[in-house]
Amino acid sequence: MSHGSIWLFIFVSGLISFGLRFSFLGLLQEGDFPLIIKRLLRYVPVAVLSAFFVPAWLLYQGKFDLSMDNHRLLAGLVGLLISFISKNIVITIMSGMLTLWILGI
Amino acid sequence: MSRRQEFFYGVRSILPLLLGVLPLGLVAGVTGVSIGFSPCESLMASSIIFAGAAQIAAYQLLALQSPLIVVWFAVFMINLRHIMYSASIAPHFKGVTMPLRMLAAYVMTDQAYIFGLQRFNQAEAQTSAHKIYFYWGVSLFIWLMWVLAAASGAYLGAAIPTSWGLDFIVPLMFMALVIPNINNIPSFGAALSAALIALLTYNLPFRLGLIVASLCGMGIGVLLERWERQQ
Repeated sequence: MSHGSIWLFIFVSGLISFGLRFSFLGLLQEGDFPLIIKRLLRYVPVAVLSAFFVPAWLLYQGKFDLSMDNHRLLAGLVGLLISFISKNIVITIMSGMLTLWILGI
Repeated sequence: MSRRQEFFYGVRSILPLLLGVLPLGLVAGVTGVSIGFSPCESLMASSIIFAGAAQIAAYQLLALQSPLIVVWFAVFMINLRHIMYSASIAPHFKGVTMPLRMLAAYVMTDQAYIFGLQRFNQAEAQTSAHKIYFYWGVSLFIWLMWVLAAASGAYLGAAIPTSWGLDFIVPLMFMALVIPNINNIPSFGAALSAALIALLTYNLPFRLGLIVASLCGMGIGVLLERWERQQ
């Protein structure tokens, strides 16, 4: 890959990322959203993050493996349980990673 | 709270998340170099694109010699969730000048969005003119830490063994962000349905499943809310 195309990749990707984040922040003086949109937006955090993390947790290299050999499955379950109990970010990440390391990754 | 207090309250609140942000920044910095970027290019990519998940996916595609247009489309799809964040948080930025809103957009992350929104919705903060400074504290501090981690990865970190499984920090961090937000039936339904649909649609091209699942989850949340009200 040439250095020219690396910079092209960087700048266009940067513009895409910025554009998406700026979208509604940019045109916000237009008044309020309709009620139904506001209701939908209330579920953005839980819906988007769940859609993001569950496949990243359960599908390793694109495959679904529900066996006891799948250490990521177990480590994630530990993380999930700890997260429900503690609601603490550090404890959740540590418990999941430690489980993964103890099981031997 | 004063501006200064809000700002540092934001910085303090985000400290636990460094456990996720720093390793990820390190991995992003190292991965850039491993696919042929110079350390400077890798650092600039992390500073300018500033999107861990999208960058790592893009690097994988670049390593496979994918055409740039395909790589950009992947970046677009993985970051499409930020449109929803932007819409969700925009009402709190009324009265903020355009240059500052541009800065707020540039430094937006999953973490800054979630923490900012939680703070904005707290009763005590709702009437405060300075609540926006919480967002600045959170987002600018994450940006700084991310860039420092990416720089360490790009310039120093020759090798982080894949056997450490550091990529698993990503789902754990998002899990830790989402669980405290599940506090009633509609939010539980939204999370569960989004997760299931994301699994079922994972093989759709260009990570389209992520968007389909998010929108379905939001819809289910609203429907359950309506059903709850009718009970």
